[in-house]
Amino acid sequence: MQPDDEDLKKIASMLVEIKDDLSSGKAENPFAVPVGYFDSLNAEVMKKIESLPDFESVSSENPFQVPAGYFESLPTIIQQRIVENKSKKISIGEWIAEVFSQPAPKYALAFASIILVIVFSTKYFTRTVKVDYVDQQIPDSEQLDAFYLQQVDESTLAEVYSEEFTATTTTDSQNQGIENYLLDNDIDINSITEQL
Amino acid sequence: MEHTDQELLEKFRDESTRSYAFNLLMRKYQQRLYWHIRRIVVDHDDANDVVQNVFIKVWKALEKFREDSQLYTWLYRIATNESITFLNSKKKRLFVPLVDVEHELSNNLSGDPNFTGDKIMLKLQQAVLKLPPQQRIIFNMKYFDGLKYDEIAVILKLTTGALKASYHHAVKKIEKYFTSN
Repeated sequence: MQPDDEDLKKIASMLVEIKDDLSSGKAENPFAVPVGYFDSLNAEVMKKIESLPDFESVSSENPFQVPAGYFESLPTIIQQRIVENKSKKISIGEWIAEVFSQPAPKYALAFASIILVIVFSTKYFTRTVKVDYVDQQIPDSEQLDAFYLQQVDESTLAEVYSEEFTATTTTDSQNQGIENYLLDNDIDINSITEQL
Repeated sequence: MEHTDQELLEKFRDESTRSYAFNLLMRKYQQRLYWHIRRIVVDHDDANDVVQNVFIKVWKALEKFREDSQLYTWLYRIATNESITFLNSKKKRLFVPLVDVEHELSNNLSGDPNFTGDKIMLKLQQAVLKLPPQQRIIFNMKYFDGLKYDEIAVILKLTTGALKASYHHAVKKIEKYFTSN
């Protein structure tokens, strides 16, 4: 809806009134600053700017110092240490002592754990297992066999086995001879069985 | 006359001039490496221990140095790693977090006879010590050592973009520390 002439006249008179108020200083700022703020602001900002490090300058002042003659003697000290390191041959005992004297105890603990594992593993895998062959549940004959078997060494066993093998081979060759004889003479094995 | 890195390496590879070459190398780089280390570990005695260890490592490894990078970037890398390792071991020895070690270093600065900076410089060092380790090293290398981003990138094995961002954050944090303290 377009404003009519009456409305336009009212708006115009209101604007005139506001203009009069502004020019007479009636409009007040609701915000305030501490007393003397703007007087000291400039100096405050400059102070902060001056206190800021100059990040644009590449070479900066070094505030640290070293004792007099430090850099003159440093190469000699380092070369002495290198020579000492070269000639220093430490024994295993000294090395272990050095490991345990390290500031980080976790390495010493890890080292000790590894040693313990090695010692216990060696003990476990090389232990002697004693078997008590006298048992009430096992018959005497088997216990006796077990006892004799424990006394028998490998060479004796090998000898016995070879004798048994020879005997078996001999029996087999004898059977083969009988079989050949029966075949050659055309003798039926059933007739022999019947006769017997 | 100062020898070039190439000359030093050649002399070092020759058994008869090895010690002499290493002495020259130390004289050439000891101050640059010392100050780089000192700004990280702050205390002179600690810096002295670290710089000696750095040169002993360099002595052991220099023969195998393949010149993939420049000698000084290689030396800076060793010095940076040794300094960080030292601070970490100090943290473990004292059973305190790294930030507390840096807090302690910051407190010690004001009474350190080997620190001669004025109030602003002390405040700057304290602000720098409040930065995370990597940002601190980047800020030191750029601001105090005057190294270029490309050089720092090679030493720290970071991209130039990441370095610029880190340096920018470090500067902002230092400015904030100055305006709020």
